[in-house]
Amino acid sequence: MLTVDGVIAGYQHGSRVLDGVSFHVRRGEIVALMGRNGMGKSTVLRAITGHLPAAKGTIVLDGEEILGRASHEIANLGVGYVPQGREIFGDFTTEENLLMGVIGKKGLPNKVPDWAYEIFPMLRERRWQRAGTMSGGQQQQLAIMRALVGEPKVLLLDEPSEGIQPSIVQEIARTLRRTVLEKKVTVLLVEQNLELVLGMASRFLFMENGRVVDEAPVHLVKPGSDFVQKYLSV
Amino acid sequence: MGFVVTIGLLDSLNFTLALLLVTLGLVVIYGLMNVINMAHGEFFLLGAYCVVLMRNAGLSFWWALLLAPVVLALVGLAVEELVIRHVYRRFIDSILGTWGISLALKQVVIIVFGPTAQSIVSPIPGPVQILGVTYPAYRLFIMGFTILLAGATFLFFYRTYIGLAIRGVIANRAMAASLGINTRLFDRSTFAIGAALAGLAGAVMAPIMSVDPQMGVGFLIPAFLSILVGGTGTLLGALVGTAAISATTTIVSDAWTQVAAQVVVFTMAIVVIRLFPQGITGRRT
Repeated sequence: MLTVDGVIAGYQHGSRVLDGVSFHVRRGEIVALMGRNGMGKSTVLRAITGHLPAAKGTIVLDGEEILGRASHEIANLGVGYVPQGREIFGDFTTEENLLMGVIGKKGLPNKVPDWAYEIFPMLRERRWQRAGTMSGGQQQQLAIMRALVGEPKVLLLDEPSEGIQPSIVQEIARTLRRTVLEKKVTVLLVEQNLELVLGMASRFLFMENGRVVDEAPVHLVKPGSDFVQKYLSV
Repeated sequence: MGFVVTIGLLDSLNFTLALLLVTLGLVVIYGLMNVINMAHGEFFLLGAYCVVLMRNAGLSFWWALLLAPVVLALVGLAVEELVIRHVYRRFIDSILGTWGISLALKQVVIIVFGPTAQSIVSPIPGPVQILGVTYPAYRLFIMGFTILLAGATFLFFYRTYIGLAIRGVIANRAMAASLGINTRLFDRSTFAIGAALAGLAGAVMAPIMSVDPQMGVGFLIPAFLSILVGGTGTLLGALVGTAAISATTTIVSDAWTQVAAQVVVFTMAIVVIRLFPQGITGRRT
């Protein structure tokens, strides 16, 4: 489904943030990309979404090379992106934010599908509210739904729990997991919150110094396990 | 007495709407896209010369209202591709770059049409009776046209999917791109729309102005001031701004002198910008 192979990227005069990162995500999987701060997790997502034009290597989605393509083309090939910090359009209403998720997509009608408001009913209540005035958790649901209405094949989530109350995080995670399984969306998730990931992902990838160095199925990763000690604890 | 008041009101309204007409294109390019376009006056100028071109070709004035936006959209595309796309978010560079374009366009006009003023015959000659006074018919046309054009511009940017996409690209281009929106396409077309609006304004205003290579300058500063005073990023801001600037100008120059009007307008602009850095309608973020 999504194959990242030997991707190298970095800053002009600095170290390589990605130093030959390689991994594979199968169709329908929910994979968590884990690692300490500064290991390059978010950079991997930025490379896949076309926001690192200087990246080298190959990234193949459904048999099609996407590295080197423009971000809007990559989105149209089926990559949905929920960036760190959510990046919602603060001056737009909820409805307008969701419309932004469909109007750039070829083959989708310029209309927010009803299921968007059924999955997160909070969004319907705030349909005409300016998104910038909503709480972090509400904005996160909006950002996730804005990506989902574009009907991506693979959804990239960057730190969805950041800045959100823990109780709401679990709720969002449950709904999200149910939705992506229903809609058969493949997910690649970057997250620090181990509990959220344990409740969602089926497989873990561990990054260190710009590479994926190890992987494990979810049942082997528990708080206090060797993997957590080795790759996550500070 | 009632006669004088009506004429005064019509004159103020006329000036407000004329300024709004000229400001509309700048609302798009400066207000929405944040590009300081010093060549905006020359876009306006080229629009006016489209009328001269039509006159010389022996065609009706009204064709110029079609020609000017098309020509200026093409000029806008060329300018965006050659210069503007390299200077987005680089304020000083964009001022210098567009100033260069401004000089070049002005010289082209002088070479092609000569430095002297051209006079355009009003396409709707004669006065009409309105509210008990006689008023030039073409000025009434300009007022009506401006209201329609401002309304259409508002609807386009705030009630259509393309308008939404344009505003989305301006608000957050990286995110818009990741939602599948071709940001370069929208940069180009938004700039072209702004240029086309300026050209249309030039064509519409040509019959009541002296069409000469310097005519663009006079409106550039009040247009920028209107947006600064009213607030960037909204059409409502431009409306408030042009009303404030033109009402002040008309009232002070009627009661006092033109020079005093300039002094008062600039003072007012400084005070407003000091008190409301985001403009009167601007949100403080």
